[in-house]
Amino acid sequence: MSSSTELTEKKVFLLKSLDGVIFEVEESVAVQLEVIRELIEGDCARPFISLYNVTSEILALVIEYCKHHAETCSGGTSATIADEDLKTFDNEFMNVDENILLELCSAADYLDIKSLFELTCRTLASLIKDRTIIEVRKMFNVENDFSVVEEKAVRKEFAWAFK
Amino acid sequence: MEVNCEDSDETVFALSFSDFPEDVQLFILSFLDPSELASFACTSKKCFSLCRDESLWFSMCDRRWGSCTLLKRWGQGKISYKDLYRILSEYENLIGFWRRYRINTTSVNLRMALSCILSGVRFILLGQEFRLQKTDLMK
Repeated sequence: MSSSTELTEKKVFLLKSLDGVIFEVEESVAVQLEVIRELIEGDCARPFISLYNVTSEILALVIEYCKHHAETCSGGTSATIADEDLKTFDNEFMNVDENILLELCSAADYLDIKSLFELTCRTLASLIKDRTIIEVRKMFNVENDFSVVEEKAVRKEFAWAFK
Repeated sequence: MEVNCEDSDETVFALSFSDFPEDVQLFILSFLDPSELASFACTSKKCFSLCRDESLWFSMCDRRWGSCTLLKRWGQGKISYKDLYRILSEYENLIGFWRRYRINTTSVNLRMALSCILSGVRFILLGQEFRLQKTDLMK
């Protein structure tokens, strides 16, 4: 996308995923990863930054997200249009497989990208909504370890909320 | 939480909700409403204990009413945030009532009078909550 003259002007950083794939990102993208902000600001990001907890598949998605957010915010459009655009993008971006969503959430937590973390958590919460107890158990791989009496007690404690 | 790269491709994505650190789990749950949390609490013992977490209910109260009232002053720390959520969702009109008058009024006296009423409401709610707990104990 950038020509070689632009490259010399713009600072770029190299991010290495868990499986050894190296991604080149601009500063506007890299600074969104709070976990590496200090490395960038302290000029300790050479030759590349290793991100041990993120696979290349997930890192590519994370970079796509940060890139879009950086471009939209610096695009010079009005705040409301930018907001709308980000909302649409975020909605489409969250349209992924449940496993990928879990991985993205975990990566956003590790990389400390607040907006992506909140977005993935919100989306995970919406997956819990509208599901039956049995479906939620299956989804989160948890087993029912209540005795009948215990389950009754739980239902009693939360009886007000079921109304 | 670390992804095990020795496994085959199919098992690389083997994360589950319970692998997340507790603060992440609580943050996810904070986006549910009480009825959804109540269902979630019925799934397992671990989930039940998560759903009783004070910080979870604080963030739920904060998200819903944090901008219009000082949550920490309700119940003076004597009510759990779960109970506070339950009380505020029942009496939330009172917060609006007080706020509307506080913003519109310029009279210091009226404002003071209204804040007295509010303290009274808080006191009543606290009293009611203690009564609730007492009857719970007696059962």
